[in-house]
Amino acid sequence: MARSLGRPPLVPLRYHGRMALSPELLKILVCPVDHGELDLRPDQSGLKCRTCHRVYRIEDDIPIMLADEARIEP
Amino acid sequence: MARTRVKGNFKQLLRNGDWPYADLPVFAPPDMDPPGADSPALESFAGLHQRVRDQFGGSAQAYTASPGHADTAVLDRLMNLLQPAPGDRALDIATGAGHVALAMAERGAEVTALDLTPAMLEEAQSNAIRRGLPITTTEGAAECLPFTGNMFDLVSVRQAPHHFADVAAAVREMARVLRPGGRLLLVDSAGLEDRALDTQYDLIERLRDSTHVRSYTPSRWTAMLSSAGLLPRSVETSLYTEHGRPMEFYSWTARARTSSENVRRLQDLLLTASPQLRQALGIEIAPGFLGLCIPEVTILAEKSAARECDPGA
Repeated sequence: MARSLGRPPLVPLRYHGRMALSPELLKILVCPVDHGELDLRPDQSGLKCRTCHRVYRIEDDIPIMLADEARIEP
Repeated sequence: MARTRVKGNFKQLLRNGDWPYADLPVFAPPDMDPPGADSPALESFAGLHQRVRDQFGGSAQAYTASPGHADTAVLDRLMNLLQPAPGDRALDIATGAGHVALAMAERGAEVTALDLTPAMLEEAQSNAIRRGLPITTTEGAAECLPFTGNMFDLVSVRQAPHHFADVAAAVREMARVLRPGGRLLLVDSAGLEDRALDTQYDLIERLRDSTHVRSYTPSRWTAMLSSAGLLPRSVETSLYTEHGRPMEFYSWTARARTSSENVRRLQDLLLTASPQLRQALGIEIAPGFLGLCIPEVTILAEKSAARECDPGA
């Protein structure tokens, strides 16, 4: 993406605005309880385990992979 | 709470049965065996995990500047030991302000930083942005890592295992996520091999810090790591100092938000310490200065090639 105006950014462009969860990270994350595969919610709000149906919230692009913070959803 | 006056030294206290520390939480049994396979389910660690978050959430920025954590000479020495290479996939457990994670990223590794405390991850992430080093961050517990097995070339953990609710589970998890031949760098405060001295040192740590679980001895670490298939290649012990000097006692306790009651108890314990304990902890008592050093162990271990873990296990 080209920037038309002004000085070069102080930090790399990829850090501007909201950065989606890194696809690299998504590839290696599993459920901390049963190591089940995770599906990213379409609205990127959380990761759901295919086996135990725990949903791990994503806040400020940081996935919260803690069993005691997860919610089990049908 | 009424002040408990500590009279006499540690041995006399034990002998007289005059034990003023009944209110201290106890996590690890005194024989230093870490909790085993029958340890409580991970959900029940929530209490300790919450206290860790409360303590470190309020002091995240202090760790960016902490002289012992930020010292680049120390980080260079650790990186020389670990030898991260460009393209290595690395995991930094309990990253704190991210010093080790960023040192690895600086050398070209693709780093994922894990911590229990959201404020610490934000601190690590803002340090990463400031230095232009991309890292990814995940909130999680060392006892149940949210990563596929055999995934990392490098795993690092510094100044954290003494907070872990179940260190044996954490070691098994480190072994699981490392690929065969992958390397672990572990740095932590170290228990003293002399049992009597170690009991005293453990008391000092727990009086200072309510989230302190146990500092394990180098021999204990060697046994725990080996049984998880992580073969120690190098084990060094040293005394943790700041700028080469003992840590000043009052800033050391302030950083852990020690209660004033416990600061007084600790002060009494240090001032009445036996010559052996004074030597083991490098306790320095001078006019206008009270300081101590924490014994530290640095271990480089390698996951044995025969130990490929079932990625799904």
